[in-house]
Amino acid sequence: MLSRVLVPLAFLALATCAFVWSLHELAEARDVFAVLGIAVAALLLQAAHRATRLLEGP
Amino acid sequence: MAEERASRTEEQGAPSSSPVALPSPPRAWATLQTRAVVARCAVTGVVAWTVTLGPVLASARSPASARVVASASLAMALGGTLLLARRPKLGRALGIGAFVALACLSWGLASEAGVLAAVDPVRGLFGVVAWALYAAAWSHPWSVPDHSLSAAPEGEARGLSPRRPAPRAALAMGALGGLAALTCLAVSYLIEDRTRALVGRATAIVASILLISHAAALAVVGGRDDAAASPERLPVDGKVARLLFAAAMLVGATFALARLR
Repeated sequence: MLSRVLVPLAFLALATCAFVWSLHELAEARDVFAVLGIAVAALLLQAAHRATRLLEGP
Repeated sequence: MAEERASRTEEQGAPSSSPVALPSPPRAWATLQTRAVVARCAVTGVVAWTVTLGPVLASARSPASARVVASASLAMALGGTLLLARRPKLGRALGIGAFVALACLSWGLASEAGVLAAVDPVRGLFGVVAWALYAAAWSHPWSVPDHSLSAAPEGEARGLSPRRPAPRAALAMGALGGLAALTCLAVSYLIEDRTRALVGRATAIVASILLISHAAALAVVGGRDDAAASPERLPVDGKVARLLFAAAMLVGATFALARLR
């Protein structure tokens, strides 16, 4: 079970990294990269959500 | 079948209808606990009164009626705590109901003279903390001595007991979600430009909520009893793969853009 829970947990960790990176880019006034980082984080969160739903089962 | 269900319920720690005879603690220890409860309620009440109603009494602008009511509220707080051990209902009525009502009345009378407007924000913040401590000290079951609590019927004083302790893995996942959310919030405070700071903090708050809610959902799934019984298959399907592919494409585009610049 632990290995399967690690999959959405890894997506969440990557989404956190993307959020932090985009906020850092915003602080450096690189707005385009900040928006791209938020988009990547949103996709990873969606993946984490879907993986959690799959873990829940039918 | 019924016997099996009953034994299972007993194992899970569910409250039973029959009263449980608990050993009474030594008299000296019970007295000490009662005095500790009374002292806790009295100290927090006096602190809340001093921080928030002290200015009403000390200010030269406050009317006499406000001062009298403020003094009466202190008397109610102290009287309530003194009655708590012997007559708990009356003690709580005075210590909570009368004290808070008179405090509000005193503030209302003093606000007409502009006394409250002169209170500085730091004192106001301390006042919020002081009233929160007062509420915690008086809240049930903290304001009831422990030996009385143990003698009370199950469900009336202790509330429902959990069926099982939270799994450590679930707690760890929840804690990781909280840590990730705090990291996002902390990084948003590095933004110096005002406009960007506003956008960054709003983004960080939304990101924190999303991360915590996802981590909580994952903790619930990971901490389930029947989780081990579910089929051993990685939670990856076509949709997850497509989302990951899109994310990888965006990351690639970001790197390409960074190189072009």
